[in-house]
Amino acid sequence: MYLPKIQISSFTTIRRERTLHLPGKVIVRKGQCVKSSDIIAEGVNHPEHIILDIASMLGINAEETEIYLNYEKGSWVEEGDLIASKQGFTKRGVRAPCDGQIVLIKKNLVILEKSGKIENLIAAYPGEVVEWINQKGVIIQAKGALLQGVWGNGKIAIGKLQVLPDNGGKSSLPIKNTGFHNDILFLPYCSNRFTYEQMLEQSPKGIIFGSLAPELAPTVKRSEVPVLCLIGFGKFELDEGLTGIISRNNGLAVVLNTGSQNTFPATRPELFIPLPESEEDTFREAETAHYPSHKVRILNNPYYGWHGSYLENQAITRLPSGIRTETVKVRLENGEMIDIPPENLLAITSR
Amino acid sequence: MTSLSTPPEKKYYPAKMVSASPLLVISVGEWKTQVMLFDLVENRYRLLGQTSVITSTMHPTDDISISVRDAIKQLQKIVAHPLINKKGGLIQPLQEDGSGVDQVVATIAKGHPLKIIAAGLLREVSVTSAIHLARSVECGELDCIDLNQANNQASVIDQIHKTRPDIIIVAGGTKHGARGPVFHLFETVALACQLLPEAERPIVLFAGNQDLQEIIQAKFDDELEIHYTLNIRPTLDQEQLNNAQREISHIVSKIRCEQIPGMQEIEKWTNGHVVPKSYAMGNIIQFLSKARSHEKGVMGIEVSSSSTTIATAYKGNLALGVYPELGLGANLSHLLIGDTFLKFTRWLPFEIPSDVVQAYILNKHNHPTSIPYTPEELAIEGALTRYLMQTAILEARSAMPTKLPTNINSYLPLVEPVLAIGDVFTHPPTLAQSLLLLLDGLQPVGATTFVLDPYNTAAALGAAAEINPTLSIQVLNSNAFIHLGTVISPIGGAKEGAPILRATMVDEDGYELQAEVEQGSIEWLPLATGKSAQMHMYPLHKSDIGMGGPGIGGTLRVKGGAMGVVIDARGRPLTLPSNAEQRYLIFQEWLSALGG
Repeated sequence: MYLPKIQISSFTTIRRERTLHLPGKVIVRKGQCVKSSDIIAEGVNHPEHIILDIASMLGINAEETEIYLNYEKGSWVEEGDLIASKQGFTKRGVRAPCDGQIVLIKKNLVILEKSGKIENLIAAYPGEVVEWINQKGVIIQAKGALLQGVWGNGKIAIGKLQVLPDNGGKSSLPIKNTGFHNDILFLPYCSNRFTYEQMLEQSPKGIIFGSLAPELAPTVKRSEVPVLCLIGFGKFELDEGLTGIISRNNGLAVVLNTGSQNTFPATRPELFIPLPESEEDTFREAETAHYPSHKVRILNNPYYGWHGSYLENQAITRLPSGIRTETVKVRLENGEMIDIPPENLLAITSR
Repeated sequence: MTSLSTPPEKKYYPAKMVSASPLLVISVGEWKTQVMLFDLVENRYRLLGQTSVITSTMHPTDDISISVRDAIKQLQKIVAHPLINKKGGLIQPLQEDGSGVDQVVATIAKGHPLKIIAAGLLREVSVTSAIHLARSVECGELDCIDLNQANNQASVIDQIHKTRPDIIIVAGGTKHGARGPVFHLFETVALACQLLPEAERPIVLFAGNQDLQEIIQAKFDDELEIHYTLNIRPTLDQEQLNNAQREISHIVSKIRCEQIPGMQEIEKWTNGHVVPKSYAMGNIIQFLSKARSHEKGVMGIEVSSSSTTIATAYKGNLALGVYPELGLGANLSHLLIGDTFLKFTRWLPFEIPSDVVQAYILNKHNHPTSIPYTPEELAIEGALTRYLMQTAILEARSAMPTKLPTNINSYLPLVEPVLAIGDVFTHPPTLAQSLLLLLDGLQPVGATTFVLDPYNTAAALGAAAEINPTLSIQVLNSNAFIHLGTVISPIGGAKEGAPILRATMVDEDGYELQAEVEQGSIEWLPLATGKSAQMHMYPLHKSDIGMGGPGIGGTLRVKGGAMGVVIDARGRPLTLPSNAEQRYLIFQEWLSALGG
């Protein structure tokens, strides 16, 4: 039975694509090792174009344009450079109206792409460049702990993981900045706007919630600060495996990628904690205990966020809602057996 | 997993029967993948069985063929018809021992919502038609270019660079009409496309003045992938989308097959017969409409986790609208903002705290495949579906022909039947709840019939019709659908509680049933599936029953169904009490009137 999966892993190897929105220049090589803050590619975001009708500006036939051009396609020009000129009795010229690159020459037209603000793409994931995507970016292979979540507001940050004490959904943070401005804060549950705003006042690089009150969703979605939600909206307990990974790595540099959950290509928002390879064996044993195969998270009330193990046998069952559908048996961690539709299960994998 | 007919015993197909061989339909959805096997049973095509699994493009797997194989393996067990060989490939062609299939078709409703630019000369004319065409496929981002913008070529180039469209539709110029401005528009679009890296260039669909086709072909075919179709706006007041819908559906299939890992293999199995699910659904609705002699249209509605699709056809002319923003899943979070939240929570049949509703919507957004487990979750989903249907109908109205048989108080033109596709309509525990969901969401006027499609067969038949129309016709009349019955919705200005319709129903055996229906009520008369009856109707208080105007009565032949004949006199538009307690009571009352 195929179930959608979420990965929670103390140590794993991941491959992540890092690409520009628009084609640009990739400035790292395949095989190169990169740090989180390294710039790997650069490009112009939303370039502006200027069309120069050379023939009409020089007063010539369209077919003759090429003869009078001083530059080729791909050339960079500065403002005032003579792009085309006609010598002779009536001396005429076409000058570049701005700095830019000649991106197309077609009959009588020259199209100049204006130099715009350069967008730098950082590696974010420290690791090895294993693939090069022409003009767009790279695929990086990295090793460390991985916690995938269910919701994010579509941003990325790198910073130091700072676990805040669980205070029943409220923050125990002081009002003023206490030096969390480079950190990625983690709070198991956020119950109200005040707590969220108090966290924002610390000017963190990012925020991770185990779960959060649904009323906060619109505000958090608009936030400039990357926010990741691990379990869902409502108040849910975090399982030991997850809290163990977070508390063990408190204070380490992490990558918070809150890019939305997509089915195509398949991605989830995530917290990645780069770790040296020597750490791998340390965690393997604990992890197997927390995340045996067939471990699932339930996605419907009244069990939302609960964990259990599913058994393969399937049957048609009438749910408490009255819907008749196919279900599988799930043994909850407290030993209770319930029938749940496979659609309401998320498989948790550590590999 | 569902087996609908007794699986046939293994059989041998003589050579002359090859054209009447089993047909496998694969439907790859955003979240679910379904497979169905059709075959001849006693000389008629039947749906032998179907099965569905979760589509395997959710993290971390990104090959859809995994779920397709899983689903086929399950299906072959229940229909006792070997379909997959030991290597995991589809057994093709049909073998002498009866295993395998000759005919395979697939529908696709998967992949990121498309980005489309609709370009034309005049915004109210050709651009509008190009928009209607764009909305007939899963278009997530729609941008427009008209002649005024096209005159500034640089800004059009910037716009195309910013949007990065998958498809650009270029329309404009009536038959033997404008050529110069259309050519200029196309030239600008072509220029912009050439500036994009080759792998990222959009496919251009030229749907404008046909006189230009040869010139465009000669000038731009080497530089761009251009598809051609009939002019979608041949005259100022005539929109002609059918041919273009077919062409854009080919383009979408091509994009999906290239884009989605595993889809290439499915395409090979089908020998290229892959169509977007919305197109397949439109196909079957159009087909039904052509077969009807009455003035009314035929409607199909599907509310799925990724979109709401409405297909309406009048005398073979199809209006097809796919609304990804109105899906019952990934796009729900916008409903939490402002008045929208209040608009749909009005439909909750009992009190549910707003934080519970908000949490359900947000978590459904994160896990769109989830099925309502508790009565509260089902109630929230019912309320959401009603709201999504109403919003989609309002959107779809703009793409329907303007001169339609309709009623001023209804946003739904006269249609019969209404084909309701998808799990949301079959999830409710009773058929009365399913019918009420449809009536609340669509609010039809006059007389219509409702048919449920519990196995999502309609789109499969739409796809199958391309290679085996006989199969589609025969299965449409089979047990694959649930006929809910006929609904008559009188409207008028009478006060609540005033009698507005007196009706006498005489069935084929001469058995007579009488009803006097009051304004604000909903009544139910039993008439079994497959039966029909004469309904003599006498409108009171100048109510309109869709027989020619207010106060005009007459006799109508009505068809039975699981819900018999329902007279919905609750008024149009349906107004709900502002007081929540009263609303909960009235919802209970309506449901009890239909038998619970």
